[in-house]
Amino acid sequence: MIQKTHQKDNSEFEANVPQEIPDELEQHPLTSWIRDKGWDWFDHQIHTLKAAQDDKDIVVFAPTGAGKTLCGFLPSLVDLYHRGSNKKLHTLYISPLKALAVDVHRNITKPSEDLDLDFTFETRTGDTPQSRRARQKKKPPDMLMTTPESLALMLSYEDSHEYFKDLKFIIIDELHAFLHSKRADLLSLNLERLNQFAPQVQRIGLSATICDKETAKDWLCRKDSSIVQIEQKVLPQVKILQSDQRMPWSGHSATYAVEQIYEAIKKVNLAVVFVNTRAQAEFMFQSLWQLNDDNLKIGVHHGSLEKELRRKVEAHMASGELDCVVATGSLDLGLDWADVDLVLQVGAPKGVSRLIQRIGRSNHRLNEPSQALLVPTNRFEYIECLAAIEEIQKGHLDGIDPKEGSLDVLAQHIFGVACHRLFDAQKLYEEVIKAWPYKNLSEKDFYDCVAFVKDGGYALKSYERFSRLVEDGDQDNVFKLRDKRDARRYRMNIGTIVEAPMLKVMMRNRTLGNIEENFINNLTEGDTFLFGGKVLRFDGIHNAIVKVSKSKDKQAKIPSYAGGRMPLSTHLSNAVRGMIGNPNTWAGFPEQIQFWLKLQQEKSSMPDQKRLLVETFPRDKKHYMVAYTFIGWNANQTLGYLVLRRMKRLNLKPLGFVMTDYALTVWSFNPIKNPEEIFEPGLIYEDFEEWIFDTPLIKRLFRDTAVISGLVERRHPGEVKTGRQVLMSTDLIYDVLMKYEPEHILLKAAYEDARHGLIDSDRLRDFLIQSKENIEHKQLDQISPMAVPAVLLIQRETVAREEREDYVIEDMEAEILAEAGIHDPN
Amino acid sequence: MTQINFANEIFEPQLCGALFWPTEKMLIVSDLHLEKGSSFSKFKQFLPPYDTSETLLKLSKTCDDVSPETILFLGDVYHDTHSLNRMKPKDRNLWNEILEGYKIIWVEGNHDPGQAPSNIEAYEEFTHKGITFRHIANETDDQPEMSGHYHPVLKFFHKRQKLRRPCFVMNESKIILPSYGTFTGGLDITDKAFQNIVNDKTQFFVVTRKKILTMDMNKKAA
Repeated sequence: MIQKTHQKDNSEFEANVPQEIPDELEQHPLTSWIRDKGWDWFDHQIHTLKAAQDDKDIVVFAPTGAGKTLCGFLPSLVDLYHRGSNKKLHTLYISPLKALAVDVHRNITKPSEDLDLDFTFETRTGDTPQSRRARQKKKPPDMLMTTPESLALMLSYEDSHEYFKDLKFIIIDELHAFLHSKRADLLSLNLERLNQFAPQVQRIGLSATICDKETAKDWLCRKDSSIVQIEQKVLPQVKILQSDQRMPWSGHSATYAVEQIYEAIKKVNLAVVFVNTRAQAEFMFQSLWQLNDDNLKIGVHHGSLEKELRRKVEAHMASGELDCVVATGSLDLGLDWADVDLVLQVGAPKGVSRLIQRIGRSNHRLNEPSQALLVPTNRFEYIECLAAIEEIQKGHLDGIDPKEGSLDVLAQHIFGVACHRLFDAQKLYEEVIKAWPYKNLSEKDFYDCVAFVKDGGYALKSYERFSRLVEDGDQDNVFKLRDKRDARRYRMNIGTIVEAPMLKVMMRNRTLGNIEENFINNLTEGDTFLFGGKVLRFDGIHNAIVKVSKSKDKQAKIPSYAGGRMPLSTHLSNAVRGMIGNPNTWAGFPEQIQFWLKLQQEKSSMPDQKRLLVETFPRDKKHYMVAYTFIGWNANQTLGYLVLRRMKRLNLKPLGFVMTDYALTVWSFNPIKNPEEIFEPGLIYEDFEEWIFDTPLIKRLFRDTAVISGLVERRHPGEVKTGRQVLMSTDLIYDVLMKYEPEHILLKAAYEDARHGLIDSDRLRDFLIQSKENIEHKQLDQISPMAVPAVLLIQRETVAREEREDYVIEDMEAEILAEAGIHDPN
Repeated sequence: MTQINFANEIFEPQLCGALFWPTEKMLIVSDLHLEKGSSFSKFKQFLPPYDTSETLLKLSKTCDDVSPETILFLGDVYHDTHSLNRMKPKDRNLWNEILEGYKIIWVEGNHDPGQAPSNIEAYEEFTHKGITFRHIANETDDQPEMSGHYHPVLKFFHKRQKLRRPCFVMNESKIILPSYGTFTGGLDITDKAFQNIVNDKTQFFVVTRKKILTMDMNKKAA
């Protein structure tokens, strides 16, 4: 870690006026150790140390690979050295990824062994064996590297306040990757717990560079606080793959570019091909292998592969045995696996920060910029890639949008607090509202959550005799677990990530990983699908295990991908709009992109940053409307439902809608004559409330809420069912609650999640207000060039499943283009 | 109205999941699983305690609609042997009204042995007009039989949407009823449990919100 940092940023250091190094650091053996190697400390490292010595909380912002981890650990290393170990936990390092905790542990080992430093450090994650956990409990190390879930678990032990009471530093890595998720709520609540046990504790956050630093600081810091920014000297070199092949108007498979991707990875030692979904990963992996005449060693890495398989790929990367890895977000976060020479991003980046994060995987050479190649899979994505590159060059990054605390996470937390020991509810409320996400939490919501944990919180008290919590003796408002054995239930259910129901995939006796139950339900025996880079034959389900065998088929169905849709960031979508709306920027685009844009301009109009372009046209005895909203998939989906409702009321006889990140397409029997009437801002106020409790989306969210809050227990893949488990669909529970207790706290929890997440109503509201009186309506005789992908999407949804192969899509694309009188010369 | 011809009799499947026998004025319902929601409370899982209200209201409405003289319960009326104790007073009142308002034939299920109301005889099997009513299908019996127990559901595509709905399963000599209770899940008819019952000639009467769809093994509307 230290070595890399200094190699990489050497030039930066020399250019700076050296900061005065505090005595404590001067005396630390690390200082002579690095000076022996010809380096010295950086300003940002000294800044961080000094701020920590002034008893401040700190957030360090840095580009990937700039050595921010050492920055975070330095105050702790210096303090420990001078104070000496007292056999109590001194520093807690928390990362969103288990693997990252392990990695950081490895990086500290080297200097610590070289210098024979007198402190202990260990990891503690879900993978840590029981024996080591027990030892850690008795004999805490000085430093512990862990995850938010493992922290929650540790805090639920009865003696946790003793365990953590001497804690001096908490280091939270990859802060930017947390803040929009429920894991951030969980972490934030537990940080407040730690503050109760160890009021002296200082928080140090490490984050990638983001544009809204103050918000991140407010989220994390409690004390007087300080921001440290590490500047990036060398900008990454990002290019778009230039192909002479025809780039499709729609789709996401990148078939046209596979050969060139292969050529690109052939030229370097180690390339990582990032894709956005697991399905794309499988597809790309297989496509590359089909070309692999040079016997390149290509691996695949995604979240539903069995842990051992993933670890194997990671190890092979690190040891240099692999030439290329096709990966999804599972390989995203700040891991220093290996010297990656080239990063390819296939598909739109969806956000500037995440792209930078991915590109950052390849900058491990002295003073050399990161190398990255973007591969758009359709013409819209080409523009998005271009816009992202421009934003990187300008240094414009996405903001972060920390979420309001979710009530289901709060309920889980309250249960955890009770597992630790009895608690005074009012004092706990005061503690909880100190956590940033819960600063606006009302007392009522809090007490409703307590009541829910106690016995379900129903208006009827029929469950009281089984309640989980009881009041302690005659103390009012002080609660404790009725039965301490219930702590086990809490510990089994910790966490905020609820996967779509998954089934274990096994070939003979070997476990290959997990796959969505929904996908498997659509298969019949003999069907083939891609998984872990292999074509597998589906042999049936036995005892909740998917049995498969090898298949010789080359063609296979590709696994569906339920979760993990990445929202298009507002920042990037604005940049895309800006580019499309300004023909002066088009000159540098490849010919086929220019052709497409000019044709659109000629046949219809161009959306831009101010106006909402709405096209209407008849097609096949129906009427279509395409609205170029650029508000992302989630908000477009919500808009689609609302628009459909309104169209029904206006007797336009709507038939359906489809959406992309960029546009919403609706088709109906009667034509829309007046889009103003449809997109009037009242939509979000009047129709929204009525609609939201009725949508299938909220039921999906309710399922997560039910699990996180502990209403139903988590199902672990492959687990055999027992009579104790609630296996009925949470949809049934939702319907009953809606009817009999619409004010219930869990419905409120799901509703709030819906508003901020899947439904994205905030973004939608801003959009509707902005679009008011800014709608450009084009009444066309036929489909416009930009509408081709949207209409194709409809076709694609309506053809039979077995016909959804890509070549069929290509034919359909050609048909639609011909129908619109568009001759694509490419 | 969909009609089922079975054992030379005509039956009418209801949208609520009950089966009506017009000539006998008999309503047949299976697997109410009353108080299933509250049964989890002893494991400290607190589901909304309203499923019984919901199920009984549904039953009472069906009775108003078809005006039976007899109700035949085909087993598992109660989810467990303590269901009745847990029932809320309001629900209990409605339940008593139903039990007193009609002639009751009570076939026992595996979930509620010995739970028949004191003035009502409990049958393991009950035969009427050549049809045997028992809770769990007897695969070796080729005489006409009606049963419940399995909570059959059928998965199919309808207007591009994947649906999963309760269904009546019928072959030459058997009808299996869907479950009637609010919180009762279902077992897919492709499950092993059905392998000796479902064959090429099996018909499914699928309960959707607005109508009963008749389907065969190829999930095509018959």
